[in-house]
Order: sequence, then C-alpha cells, then structure tokens
Amino acid sequence: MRIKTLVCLCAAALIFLSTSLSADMPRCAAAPQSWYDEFELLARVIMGEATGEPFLGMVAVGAVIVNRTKDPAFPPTIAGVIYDPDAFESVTNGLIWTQNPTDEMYRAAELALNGYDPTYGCTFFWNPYKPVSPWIWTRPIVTQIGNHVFAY
Amino acid sequence: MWALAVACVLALAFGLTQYKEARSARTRMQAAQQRALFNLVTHVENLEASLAKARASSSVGQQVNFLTAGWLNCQAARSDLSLAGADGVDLSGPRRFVATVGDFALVLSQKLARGETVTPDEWAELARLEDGVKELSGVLAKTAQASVTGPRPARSALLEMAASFTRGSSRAADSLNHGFSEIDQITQSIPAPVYDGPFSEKNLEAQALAQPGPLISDERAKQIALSFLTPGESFQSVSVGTVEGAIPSYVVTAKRQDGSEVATTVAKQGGAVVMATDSAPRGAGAIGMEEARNKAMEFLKSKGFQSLEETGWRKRGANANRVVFAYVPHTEVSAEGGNLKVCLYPDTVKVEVSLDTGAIVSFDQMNYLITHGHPGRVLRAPIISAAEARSVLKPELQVETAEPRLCVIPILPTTEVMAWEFRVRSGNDTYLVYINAMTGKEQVVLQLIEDESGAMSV
Repeated sequence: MRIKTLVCLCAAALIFLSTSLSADMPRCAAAPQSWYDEFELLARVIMGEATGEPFLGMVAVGAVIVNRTKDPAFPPTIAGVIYDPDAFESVTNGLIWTQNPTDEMYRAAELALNGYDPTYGCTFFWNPYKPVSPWIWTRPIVTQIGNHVFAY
Repeated sequence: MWALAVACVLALAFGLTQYKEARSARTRMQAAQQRALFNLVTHVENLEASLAKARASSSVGQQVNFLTAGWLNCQAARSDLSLAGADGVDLSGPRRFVATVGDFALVLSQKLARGETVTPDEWAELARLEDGVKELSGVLAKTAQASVTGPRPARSALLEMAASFTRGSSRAADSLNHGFSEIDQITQSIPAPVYDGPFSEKNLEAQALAQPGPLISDERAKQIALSFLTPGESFQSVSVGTVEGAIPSYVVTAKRQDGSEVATTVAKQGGAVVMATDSAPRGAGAIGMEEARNKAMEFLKSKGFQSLEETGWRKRGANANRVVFAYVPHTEVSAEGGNLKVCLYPDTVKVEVSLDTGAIVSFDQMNYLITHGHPGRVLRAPIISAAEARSVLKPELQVETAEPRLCVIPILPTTEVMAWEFRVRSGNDTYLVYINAMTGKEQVVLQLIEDESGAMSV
C-alpha cells in the first residue's frame, strides 16, 4: 500500500514537473515586457554580470555595454548589444530574469547611461580568475576593478 | 515490480516531453538564424546595388538617395549580423566593415546634400569598398545556400535524440561556420577608407592630451580624492588602483562601514579629478531645484570653475531624488565691434546633486579635460553675422531667442564647428537650430524635450 502511494506521488510530481518546469524556467530568448526600457535591461545585465562586485565595477560593466553601442563592431543599441548571441553569459542562461536588481545596480545603470565611464571607453571585460577564450587576452587591458579586467 | 515499471514509463514520458520542447526551441532558433542570414544576403545585395547606382548617377539628388539607401541597408545588415552569427565565429570584423561602409556612404550623401562636392578620390574609395561588398555578397549567397540542407529524413524522436548526442554539429552549422569564417577573412583584408565620419579610424582612435602639471604619487592622489566629494569623512578602508587610456589615472576607492563607496579617478599627471561618485543610498527629496542648482554651482566654484553655464538637467533615481546638471564653459573671440562670447559645448562638466541633503553625489569632467584648451581648437571670428544666420531659418518657425548664442558644437569626436544657436518653436515643439557661423549653412537641428523630469535635447 505504501509503495503504491509512493508511486502515485512520484507520478504526480513528474507530471507536474513536465508541465510546469519549462514555464517557470527563465526564458533567455523572450523579449522583455514593453515597460522594460533600456535602463531596466542594463540594470539586469549589471546584476547578472557584476553581483558581488564593488559599485564602481557595476558602473564599469554598464559603461562597457554603452561603449559597445558606439563601436562599429557591435550592434548600435543597448538591447542589441545585450541580446547579441553569447555576448553575456547571464543573458544566455537567463540569470538576468531570475531576480530583481538592487537600488545600487539601478544607480550604476543610471550613471553608465549618463556617460559616466570609469573604463575610459573599454568594450570588453572578463574575470581573469576564470577560464576564458585565449583570444580575449590579446585585448589591451586598461584597468581592473574588483574581479573584472576591462580592455579595448 | 509494477510500481517500478510505471515509474520507468512516467520517467520516459517526462524525458520525451522535455526533449520535444528542447527540439522545438532549437528549430525555432535555427529558423530565426536562417531568416537573418537570408535577410543579410538581401541587404548586402541591395547595398552593392545602391553604391553602384550612386556612382553611375549624374544627378546630385539621385546620388543622395542611393547613398542614403546604402547606409540604410548597412544598418539593416548590422542588425542581421547580430542574429545570423554562428557559434565560435567572431563577427566583429564583418560588423565593423559593414558599419564603416554605411558611415562612409552617409558622410558622402551629407556632403552632397550640403551642396559640397564629392572628390574623385572619394568616388574611387567608394568603388573600392563596393568591390569588397561584392565579394562579401558572393560568399554570403553561397553560405546561405549551403545552410539549407533540404528536408531531413523522417526519424523517430528517439533516433533523433541519440543522433543529437553523438554529432557535434549539423552540416548546416558546419557550413555556416565555414562561410562566416570566410566572410571574416574578406572583411579583415579590406582597408578602412580614409574619411571624417563617426566610425573613421581617425575618430575612433582620438586620444586625449596629457594634462599639464607634474606626475603625482598614489599617496597624493589619495589625499586629493579624499578631500574632493566628502572632505573630512573617515572611511573603513581606502584602496588605490589605476586606469590607463585617454587620461592615465589613479582610481581611489574609499569604503564605508555600510558597504557604500566613494570612487574618485585622479589624473596621474597634474592631479585633476576626472570623475567621482558616491554610492551611498539617498533619502527622499527634501530640497527644491533652485537649492540643488545653487549647491551644484557652489561646488563647481569651490573646485575652481568660475564661468560655467547650465545647459540641461535631468532628475534621476527611483523617487527622482537626484538631479544631474550639465554645464559648459565660455570663451571669447575678437570680432568687428568687440569681443563675442562663445559657448563651448564639447567641454561639458556634469554634477549630480542628491535632493535629500543637497550633497554632491557624482562629478564628471572627462570631456572638459580632453577638449578644453586643446591646441587643435583655433577659434576665429564668425564670417556670418547673427542677422545673416537668422535669415537662413525657415520663415514659418517662431524664433524664441532674442539674441542667438554663438557656440562651438561637436560634429564628430574630433571635429567641431562654430555655430549660431537659435531656439525656435514649430507648433507645440521646441527645437535648437544651429547655423554654421562660417558657411551660413544649417548644421544641426535638435529637438528640445522639457518636462518635470528634465530638459534635454535629442
């Protein structure tokens, strides 16, 4: 009797999972709702890429995204840069939609959009303590803020 | 036993459902990627045709049309390139090439529209780029054809799943990778045109001048930083880093107990504060705009800025509890009848004031340090008078400016012109129209947007 109950519970759990899991998972390909503007999107990527970094590191990540919009090698809009395939891991894996940015992250996004650029025009950043493509190390490094290095 | 069998069947059903969803998502993604690739082929073909027609046309109006169409196709192709990318292939080269071709076409069309002449060298440069576009177009067409592998043989979901575990990439993906690698090589081999546009190498590589004054130590930078935004405040820790680039600087980060920080960037040569920001959380707005304005001006005067003029402001923060003011300095040029005041728009300084206590929470003079006093800036008396400039405006515009303002405006990162600024109204909209003070031609038109959250031009 107990085994039957256990099986029924397992079956119910599996059916529930099969129907609901995909709906609850962050959908990285989904477009943001219309009320999300570039500011919201930028704050979310700062959250995804710079959580745990110092405040200036958050501003710097936002500034890199803004700088890319002015570089011919990248798309010309904030949304275009952020959704560029595989440009940001937190966008690809949907991390940016799993929680809300903090006030500090919104402020970092504001400053970056306002032109505040502690990287002096960098278009790349990465964590030097994690494995990355060897190509990225060919870029001239301009500064290190927290756990990220920033490069042209 | 039965229970185990049921559990296995349910697990299998669950696995298949998930697999079908994943396959469907992958198919949709591939379809979007292919659509972008075919759009890219079309836009690059249209670009090639537009450039060729512009060169063949003898009418200036038609040349402007074709060059502008070329630029529009480049914009569309840049967007396509973002979506059509293949895994592991760097598309920055093709993107830069397409953006530069579009930029060059736009610069030529603007020259023609202003009544200037496109030189034979510029037409030759356009022909050279057109050859590159033609080569790109051919490879793209081949890549698009190869990416279409035709209808797939009908296979069961289980077989398909097994195949997806064993194969690294499909034939379509392989051909895409190969095609994009070839495109990358082609675009890297075409030299960029020499011209004066936003994406020209000259403007992308614009460098700042060294700031006057001796090199300072990191200890001196720390002193300068700690006495700048919050003088007298003691911090839990202070660290000093560096940043290279336009103005090599020290970055002094002072942390408080609550985790907030004041970060100040100090130029290594001369010790000027390039930018500074305070991340402390701020309370609700308690002071008015006028008081905030006075606080910002007091701060600027205390830092040695004597004659700055406010050019715009914008409220920031979740409760609009901060306001950013933009300021520009003046200079004078001697002209017939006395000196004329000139407003220097490229030399912007920004100050952010918190509306809870009036504290200064950010400061940025990067642009000022780069352009102010640049030896390349030679200001001459305007050839066109204010009255002559006014006569260029459309008669139906209602001019609000009693006396137009003479100013220097940035056209490109390394190019600026002197212009007369008129504030005009058309219906309910307000505009700033800039008439070139040397040529008398309309240079820039900006729309002024003013509401309770700020005044800015777009």
